[in-house]
Amino acid sequence: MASVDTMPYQAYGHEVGAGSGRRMTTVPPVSEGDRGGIVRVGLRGLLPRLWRYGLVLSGRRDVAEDLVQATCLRALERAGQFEPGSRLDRWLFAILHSIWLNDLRSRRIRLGQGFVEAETALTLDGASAMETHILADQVLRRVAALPEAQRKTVFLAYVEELTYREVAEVLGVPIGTVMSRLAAARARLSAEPSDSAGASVSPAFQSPR
Amino acid sequence: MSKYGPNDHPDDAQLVAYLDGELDAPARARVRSALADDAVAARLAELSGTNLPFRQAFEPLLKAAPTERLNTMLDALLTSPGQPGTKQARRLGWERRRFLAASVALVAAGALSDRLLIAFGRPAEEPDHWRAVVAQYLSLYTAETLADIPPDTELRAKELALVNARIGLGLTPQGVDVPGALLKRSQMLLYDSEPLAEITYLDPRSGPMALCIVRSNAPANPVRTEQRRGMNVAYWSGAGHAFMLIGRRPVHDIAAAAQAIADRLSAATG
Repeated sequence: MASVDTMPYQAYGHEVGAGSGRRMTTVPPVSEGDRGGIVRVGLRGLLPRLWRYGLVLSGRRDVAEDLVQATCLRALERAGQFEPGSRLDRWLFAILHSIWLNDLRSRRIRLGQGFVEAETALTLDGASAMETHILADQVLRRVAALPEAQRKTVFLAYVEELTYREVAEVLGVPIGTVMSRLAAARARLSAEPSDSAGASVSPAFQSPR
Repeated sequence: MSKYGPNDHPDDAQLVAYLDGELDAPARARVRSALADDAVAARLAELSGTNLPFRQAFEPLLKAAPTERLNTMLDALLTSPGQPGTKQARRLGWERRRFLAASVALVAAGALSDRLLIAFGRPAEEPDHWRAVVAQYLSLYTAETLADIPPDTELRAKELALVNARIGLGLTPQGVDVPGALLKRSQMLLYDSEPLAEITYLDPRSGPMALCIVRSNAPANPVRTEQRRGMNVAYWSGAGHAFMLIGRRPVHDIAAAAQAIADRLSAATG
C-alpha cells in the first residue's frame, strides 16, 4: 500500500475542496518548536477528511460536524503533545475516534435509541449518485453495511491508506485485531454477489466489536 | 508470524496482509510457498477479488463535506476569547462537549435534524410555536446535564456578553437572576435560522430551568403562564423580543421570577 506522500505538517495554510477560492491563505513556515502553530495551521486543510471519518463512524452528517468541532477543540488544547515531524492527520484521526468512543457513542447507547442506518448518510443524494460510477457507489454502500468495527478499519486502511500499525494506533487496538477485522470484512465483501443492487443485508451498525 | 508445516495453511488474516503488502520478507516467502497448495491459491484469488476501489469510492464524500461551515467553526475556535490550551478555554471546551452530548440526545430522540437548528413550523404563522419547541428541548435536560458545570462568575458574564451581541439586549447576571437557582450557562441556539438565546439555571429542588429569548415583532404583552410537557412556563414580549422562563417550580414562583426579570430588563432598556 502506498502511503500518501505529504509533509509531516503543513507549513502553509490552504483550504481544499469546494469554495476554496474564497479562502486561500498562506502563512509563513512555523518553527518545529511551535507545535500549537503546526496544529492550528494544519487543521484547516484536514477538515474535509476529518468530517468524512466522522461520517463513517457515526453515519450522520450532523454528528460528523459535531465530531470535527470537538476534535478541533481538543487538538488545539493538546497541541503541545503533538510531535513535530509526525503525521498530523493520524493524530487527529485518533482524537476524533476517541471522542466518538468515549463521548458520543456511549451516550447514544445509553439513550437506547440504537443507531441510525449508516447507509442513509453514506450514500450520495439522488442526483450525484446517478453520475457516479456504478461500481464505486456499490463499494460505498457495501462498506457502509459493514459492522462498525470492520467499517472503520477498512476505511482507515483502504481509503485513508494507513499502515496496519497506524490503524492500530488510531483505533487503540492490537495489530492482530486490525488484521482479523480486515480479513472478516473482505470475507464478507467477497461473499456478496457483485451485482447485488446495493441492498444491505445487515444493519449498518451493530453492537461494539 | 506463524510458520506453516506441510499441512498448515495461512489463514485469511495472513493472506490479506500479504495482499496489503504488510508482511515482512520471511512471512511473504512463507505465504508464497504455501501457494503451491491449490486451496490456498484459490482462497487468495477469492480474497483479491475484494481489492475494490475503496479510495475512489469515498472520494465524493470529500466534496460533500460542509467545508464552509467547518471553516467558520474553526475560525471561531481560533479567535474565541481565551486561547485554546488555557484553563478558560478548557472550561469552554468542556461546556461545548456537554452541549454536544445534549444535542446528540436530541438527534437520537428525533427532535432535531441538525445540531443547532430547531426547525418546526414558521414563526410568522405560529407565534407560540417556538415555546413548544423550547419545551420539547428542555424536557430532555436533567439535573445531571448541568450539575457538573463548575461555578465561574467570569465565564458566566462572558457567555452572557456573547449572547447579548447576538440577541441585541443588555443582559447581566444580576438582570437574569432567578432567586434560589444557580446560573449555569448561556448560549445561542438557532430557531428556524433565527438566533435564540438560552440561559440555563439549576434549581436545587426542581432541576433545570431556562430563560429563552428570540427577536420578535409581537406586540408588548404582560407575563402570562402556561404548561408544556409537565413544566411551567411564564412568557411575555416587548421591545422587539419574546421571552419565556420555563422550569418545574410551581407556576406562581416561575411567574414571579419572570416578572422580576421583565421589570429589570425594561428598566435597563428604558
